Amino acid sequence: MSGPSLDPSAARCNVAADDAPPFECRMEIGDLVAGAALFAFAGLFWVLGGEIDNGGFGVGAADFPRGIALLLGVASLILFANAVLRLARGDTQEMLCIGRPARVAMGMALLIAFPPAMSHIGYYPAMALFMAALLWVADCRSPLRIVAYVAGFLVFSKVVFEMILSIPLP
Amino acid sequence: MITRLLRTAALAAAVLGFAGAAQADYPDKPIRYILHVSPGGATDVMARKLAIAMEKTLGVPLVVENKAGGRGAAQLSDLAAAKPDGYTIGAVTSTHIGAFNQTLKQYKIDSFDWIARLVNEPYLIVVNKDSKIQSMKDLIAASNERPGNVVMAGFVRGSGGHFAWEIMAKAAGVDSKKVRWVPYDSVGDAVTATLGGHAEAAIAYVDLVKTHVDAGNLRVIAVMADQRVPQFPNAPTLKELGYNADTSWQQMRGIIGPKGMPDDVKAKLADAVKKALETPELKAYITESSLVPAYLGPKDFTADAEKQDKITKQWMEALELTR
Amino acid sequence: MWDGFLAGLSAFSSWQVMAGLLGGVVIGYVVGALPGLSAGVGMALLIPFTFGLDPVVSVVMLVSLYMASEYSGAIPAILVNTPGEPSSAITALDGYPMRERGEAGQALTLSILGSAVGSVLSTIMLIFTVAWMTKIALAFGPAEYFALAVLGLSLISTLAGHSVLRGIIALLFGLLLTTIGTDPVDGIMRYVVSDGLLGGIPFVAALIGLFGLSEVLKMLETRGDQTTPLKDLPGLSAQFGLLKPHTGNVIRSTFVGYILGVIPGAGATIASITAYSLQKRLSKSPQTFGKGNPEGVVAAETANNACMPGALAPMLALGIPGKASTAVLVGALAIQGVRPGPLIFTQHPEIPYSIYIALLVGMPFMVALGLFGSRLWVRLTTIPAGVVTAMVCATCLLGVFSESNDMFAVSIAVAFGIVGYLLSKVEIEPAPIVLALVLGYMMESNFRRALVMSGDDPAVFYTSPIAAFCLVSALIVFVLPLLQNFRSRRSEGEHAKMGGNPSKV
Repeated sequence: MSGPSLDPSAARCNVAADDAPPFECRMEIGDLVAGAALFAFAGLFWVLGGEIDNGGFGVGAADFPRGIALLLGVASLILFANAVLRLARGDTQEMLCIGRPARVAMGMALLIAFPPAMSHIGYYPAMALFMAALLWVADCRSPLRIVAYVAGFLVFSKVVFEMILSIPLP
Repeated sequence: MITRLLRTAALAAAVLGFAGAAQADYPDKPIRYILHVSPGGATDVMARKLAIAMEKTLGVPLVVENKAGGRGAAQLSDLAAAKPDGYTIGAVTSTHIGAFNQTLKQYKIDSFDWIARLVNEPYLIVVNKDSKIQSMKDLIAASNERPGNVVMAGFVRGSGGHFAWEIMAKAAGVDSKKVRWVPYDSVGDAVTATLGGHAEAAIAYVDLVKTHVDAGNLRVIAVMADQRVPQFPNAPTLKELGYNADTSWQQMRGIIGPKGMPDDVKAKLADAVKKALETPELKAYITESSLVPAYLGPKDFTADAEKQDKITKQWMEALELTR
Repeated sequence: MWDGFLAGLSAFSSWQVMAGLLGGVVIGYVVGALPGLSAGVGMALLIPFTFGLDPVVSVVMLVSLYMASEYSGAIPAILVNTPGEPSSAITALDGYPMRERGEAGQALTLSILGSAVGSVLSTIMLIFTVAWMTKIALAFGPAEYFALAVLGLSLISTLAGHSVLRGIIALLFGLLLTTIGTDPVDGIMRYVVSDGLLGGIPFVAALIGLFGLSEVLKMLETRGDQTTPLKDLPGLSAQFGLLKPHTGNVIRSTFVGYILGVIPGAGATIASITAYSLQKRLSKSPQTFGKGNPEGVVAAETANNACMPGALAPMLALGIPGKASTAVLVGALAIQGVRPGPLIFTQHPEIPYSIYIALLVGMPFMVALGLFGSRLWVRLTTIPAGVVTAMVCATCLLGVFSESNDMFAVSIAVAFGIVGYLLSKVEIEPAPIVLALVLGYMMESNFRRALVMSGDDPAVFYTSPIAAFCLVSALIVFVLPLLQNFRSRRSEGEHAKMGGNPSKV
């Protein structure tokens, strides 16, 4: 739906010529990984669901989650099996693309670091560092503009959130 | 070096003198008042009214925070982790005591300091105006006839309302195993279900059913109180009907704090509650909402909570809800 | 009726009421447009201010806030694929692809006009049918709610543009996540590995993670120093004309939104998805839904705004708050000593009528604000993409935090952002996950409640006409695309070698 649109006949990722090479793999490999991960997730819920007290009355607290876990397990197995079949036949048409993988990874790392940073050093410093770094990752390299955008956002959070909506920010 | 020494000394003095100093100035900053309900319900409205009235006595703002979820679990974990300095307090209802014995077993009555009880609310049974059950007698007959004949709507199993029903049933000689207790997300939803005819009857409070009873859509068949409630002069009490149920079992609302609050901080808060309950605004609200003023100070409230806890434990055992 | 209407109208001659109306519209517009802050949160924040106000002023302010934020949730959904309100997740399905094509102005215009017409028509229906609507609201017991939730979930097959299997996986994944927390019937803890999960997965955090943060990661894939080319918006009168081709769609979606709004607890998300699916079935170009078809934006936005007056029917006439925002409204009225319920029309007629008038009079203000805003907002697409990425990300994190005042919710949002991004790489999309998160609780709790009520007799699900109707419709909705899928797979197999997902257009 969004992101680079796929052209099945070309079966290649759309990349600007001057950009870093994208991470590419066959869609089926992605399906294998996703199928296995979701299967493990469903399995976890199934196993842990066994420890839930089901009570004495009819359909209990454990039955619904375990039922859904079972269905998800089956569905993810189908995804996995389909991928295996198509790989075996070798008639793949699609590629899974992640453009500029290094930047996406940096974005993820920044996101993961943000909550603990905010707990430790407070909202304003954490947000300032986070935004500056993210702007840099997203190709905004002029220091002056970075400072301006960050300051603008911090003023926005102060005025709209703390002052108008009176939501305290630590 | 000297500054460090001085700082250490000041720190030691602060720690030693904490009890005296802190309480003399208490309160000198806003107090967090944590609720276990989302905004808009009766408990929330009452708490906000109370907060405003208490601010006048205490001279600092009471900041109401809604921490809904898990039958009070989200609120209690916040409250238990707070410093017992009087700057964090929480709302409590009978439902909490039920939860202590069922889903939130990590807490007991003495996991918290019980500051003050505010009000009580008697339980009552309502039926739809078109129901074949039009009196307590009908209900008893229909219930005992065959299992599943009567569906009773209320809050979760093990809640105050559920035990109120069990207490009523026992007093009236109803085999409560033959009645299907259907747990709803709130007592209000249970009333709606009765209004829609999905359940024969519901255990509820005066405030929740008043407008529907006045409009003639619901009928109160019994009130679990010593006297008739002024809002429903035609609704008989259980005692009048000849059933001897423990009328001290009512839905209460109060205020608790983290364990270990200094006595005079508790006294100050309880005093502010008492004064707040006597303000005309709150008095009017309590009457409008069909609540019964039932102030208790820290000591009596703790004793009352322990008594409720004991009754709860007995019913949990009797109904095999202890898991 | 006319007496009440006149009483309500006379209230609007006071400047306080008009100020409340304008203030409510502006605050609602801002709150709705900020991801994380929904109508309910905004109204709860305003409650302390309403203590000292006249009941009519406070109710007018809150209702206009509610109305405006239901609309403005569409703005971030269209511009940055981050729904400001849960129901705008459906708007994003087509609104965001339109923006990617440079049609941000058109999408925003359609959303404000659709919202406005939906809201006004629905308010008029409310005024005349409020008494009858109570019957619909009360007709829904546990079995009916369960069936409605199943019907809502079955509609995901119309969302699943790629493959039905992936849609189902997304749905089951979401459903499984809703079982975390305190169990709805027995109050037992399930999968609670952290205290923050006691009340279940924080929904707003999950929504923002799945849409906003995962979109941020997607945006990092392309160069950040470029901008989206923009198509020109027509002049103001022509801007109004944009909605004209969608007349039938607007009327249908209004009706769907109003009826589903009346059912307490069903809410704007079900209304949006139902109107969207209906429109997709009736559309001449169903294959472009999800790829930027304006009909999708109109259907979703009209329905979720038409839902709001519908939700006021059970609140006013029965005192039943169907969702968080109407619950706040009930609370605000209770603070003023006014109890919504069957007697409100005789005891306090000025309250319902001033609500009606606020909805009707507030609408032109909202349209003006929305149209003006749509010209302003589209400039956002002329800012370098990298800057937008950072701003969206920061706003999302801030919004999640301030919605709950809880760091844990921010971590949940981050987790959902990363997982959502990775899943979308294998075309497991966020919309069905969100739909399942909205409906899972309703589905499970009512399923089990219905069985408790009937003594474990499954007959309850087909003896009730409403439940049976919903379940049969769900079955049809669900099976139909599977059959079509099968047929197209066979016909395609004759032409080319089998491979990929033939249902993919």
